Amino acid sequence: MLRMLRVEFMKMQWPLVGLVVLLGPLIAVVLGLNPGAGAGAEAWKLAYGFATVRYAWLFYPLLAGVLAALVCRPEHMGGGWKQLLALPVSRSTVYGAKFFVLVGLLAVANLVFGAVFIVAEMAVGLSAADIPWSEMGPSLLGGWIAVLPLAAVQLWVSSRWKSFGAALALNVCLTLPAIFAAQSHEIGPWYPWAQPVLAMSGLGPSSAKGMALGLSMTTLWVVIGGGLAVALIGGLVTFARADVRQ
Amino acid sequence: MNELVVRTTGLTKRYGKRAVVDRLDLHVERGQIYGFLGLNGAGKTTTIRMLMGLIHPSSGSVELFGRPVPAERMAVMRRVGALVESPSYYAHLSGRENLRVIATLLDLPEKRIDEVLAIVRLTADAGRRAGDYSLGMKQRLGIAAALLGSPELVVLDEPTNGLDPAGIHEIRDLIRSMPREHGITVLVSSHLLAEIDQMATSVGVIHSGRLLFQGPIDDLRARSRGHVRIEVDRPDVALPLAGGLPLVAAEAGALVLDSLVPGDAARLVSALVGGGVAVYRVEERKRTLEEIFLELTGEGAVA
Repeated sequence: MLRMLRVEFMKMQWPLVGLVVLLGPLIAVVLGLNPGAGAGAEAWKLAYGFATVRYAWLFYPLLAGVLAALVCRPEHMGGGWKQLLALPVSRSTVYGAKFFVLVGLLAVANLVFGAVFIVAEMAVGLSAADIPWSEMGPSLLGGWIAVLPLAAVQLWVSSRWKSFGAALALNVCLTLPAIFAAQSHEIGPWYPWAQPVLAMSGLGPSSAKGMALGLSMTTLWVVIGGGLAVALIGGLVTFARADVRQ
Repeated sequence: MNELVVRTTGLTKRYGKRAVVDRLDLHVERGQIYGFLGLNGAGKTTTIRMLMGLIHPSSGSVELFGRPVPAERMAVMRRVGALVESPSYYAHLSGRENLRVIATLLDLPEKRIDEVLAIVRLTADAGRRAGDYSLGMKQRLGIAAALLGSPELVVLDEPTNGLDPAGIHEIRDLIRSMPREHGITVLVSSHLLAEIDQMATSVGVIHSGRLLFQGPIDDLRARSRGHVRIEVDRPDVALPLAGGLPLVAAEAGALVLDSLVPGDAARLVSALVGGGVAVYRVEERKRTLEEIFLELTGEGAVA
């Protein structure tokens, strides 16, 4: 497994992946920047609420799809699957390594988001002394955990579909309704693409937005845990059984 | 019989109702260069993918080194190197980095990468992006990847596809040297008979998913029994004079006989001349392997 991970790092198209991981959160923060937001801890929290809503609603789920596609792309492009899977490596190792790299990149993206957010808000005048670490920390962690099920779904799709565009189109189609799903108490907790915004706002300081209020966190985690298990096992079984014909 | 390195039993792959590979019993012995011959779409690649555990058979089984695949694929694949269909490569990595990916998985030293690069003569271009390689260089990179783990069995699917004559020659020499210099058993597929003819010691002919012939290439050649054709001015007069000989046909202006022993040929010609028949030409026609191949596949198409 360690060797497989090393190999995944060797194969990655780093310039492209790096650009995506840096640029995604950056754009989200810049679009969500709330100028003229006064000062102090409350201003930080308010600004963070604005930023997470944009980021966790749209950019983070999209990022999961793009990165899943990028993780599989080297194999699809040059007939890598048939060479890789003819080697003495198990298919679950191959798939597992890709999932690890994917969730690792998503963790990095969240850290980048946090860092860019802090820098940006300081640039518009907020004080470093008031950074709401205790709220941002759990929020960033929660968002990452909440993105795992949909990362697993996207890896499932990307490992099967050769077309980068098709996997991405599906991702966009499923991400956009998250805006509505997250507002619904019935659908919200069940919709994978709505989980990041629910988790980030629910655990974080943006309770003022009221997004996750009234929802049991336990339910959310059970849905996330269950969704992750289903998507990961489903993807793995599909991958292990598939005929490699490309 | 030598140890069977590859053995399939009733190997079948169906897509819908169509059997792409149909009850194949493939036997490759250690030390052979086994030429797997068939037209495009005959089922060669599907068979090879099943050997590698990439495709699951609909029925039948595969054994490599006597071990079942895919059940014991992990243990067996360490001993197998493969180039399946078009060469695989990561376009954004250099040739050397491509090999390093595989070497890392197989836990091989960097030195081994240098060795295989030298074998396929890519050392000078090892630092270039594989995406910028010519088709021939990609093909050689694929062969280098197949050789990397010092395998006992190398499976090469159409390794000379798309190469220029010089490249074909080079690859052919390389394949021929494998059993001799490295003790490697080779399974090489091609749709070109001439190519198999020039390197294989054994041959399997596949057509529409069925194995039509399998055995030493000399046995395939032995099928090419010659015909003797005697051009004469009056076949009708000549015909009775050839009584007792294995006559195949009397066509316009010629007698066609199954192969003749020299004595029979001399007696027949002398009888013809004595009987007043003008003999214009006596020729022996051997069927080429090409014709045998066409005949085999023709039979296959009818069956």
